[in-house]
Amino acid sequence: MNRIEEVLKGIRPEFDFTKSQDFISDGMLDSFDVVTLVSELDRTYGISIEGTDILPENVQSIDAIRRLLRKYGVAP
Amino acid sequence: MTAGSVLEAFARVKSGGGGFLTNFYATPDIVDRWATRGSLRLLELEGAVLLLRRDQDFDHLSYAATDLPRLTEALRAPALAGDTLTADLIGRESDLGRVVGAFETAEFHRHTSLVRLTRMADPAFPDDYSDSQVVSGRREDGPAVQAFLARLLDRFAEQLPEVDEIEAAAERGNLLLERRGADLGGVLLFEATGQTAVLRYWFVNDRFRDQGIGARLIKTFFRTCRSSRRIVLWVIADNHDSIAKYGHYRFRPEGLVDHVMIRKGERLA
Repeated sequence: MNRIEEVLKGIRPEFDFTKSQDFISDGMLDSFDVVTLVSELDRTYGISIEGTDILPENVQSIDAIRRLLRKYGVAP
Repeated sequence: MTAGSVLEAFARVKSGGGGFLTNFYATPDIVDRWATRGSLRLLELEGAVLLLRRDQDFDHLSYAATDLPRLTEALRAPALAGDTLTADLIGRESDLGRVVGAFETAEFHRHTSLVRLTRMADPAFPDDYSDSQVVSGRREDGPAVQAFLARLLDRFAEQLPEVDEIEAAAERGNLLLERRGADLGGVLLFEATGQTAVLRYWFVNDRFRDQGIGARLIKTFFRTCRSSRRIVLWVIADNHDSIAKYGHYRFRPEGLVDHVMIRKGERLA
């Protein structure tokens, strides 16, 4: 399991995030989880994700999160 | 005010450096609905932003702040004087103490607390469960359902849905009822998104208790949401009877709490 999956599992252990391309539409993350996820990504990778990037489309899949992290200089 | 301007104000606090504290979790479509109703006020302050959403005779308060002192200072803003305000502080109990303290410093007190319960799918639940006494609500049930809920809800802690929300739920098939003549015997309203369903309201009319209405409603709900992997709900933390009932149906605490803070203004003090 990679670190992104570990972070996601830490928030919602009951879901298999590798099988979804849209965590929001699939009901795996709600709006509260999105804010929690951004905080966890900040803490895990030592970055500060901008408020304007806290959007569902930036965290709706593992690929989307990977792209978001790359924007902050992280190579997950 | 538009949803975009609200979201940009919150983003400015996040981008301002330092930390970021918030209780603002609304999605853009929800903010858009509030903005369309004209029920929002936005206060931008040094290192903080407050969003006030009007509800009957008080305001729900959402905030973002770079740190606790800025939050406390914002909560004491003269522009808020005299208003009755409530705020939902949601998180793990271990993470909330300092934020609750900041609100208490600003003369809020804890009105009540809610806990979130989760039920994972039960593969043994029969797919063909049905009961002819439970029916799907219709759009025209909206006003009666709202009046029914208004009599039962703690208005500061449990948000009374607007009639148009209830009508929309009925159109989606997310409103279950048992009728008793012209009265409502029980109401269950839910939301379903992908693998998660949210049980928002489940109430039985006091006049028709001990007739199995609640059980029929929730079993119909479980059958309706059988494709949901989990069901979540919020319940008042000291409502032990309800928590026991949810426990009977395999709902378990997941560790999230919502401390409902209130500061009463002059008209409600």
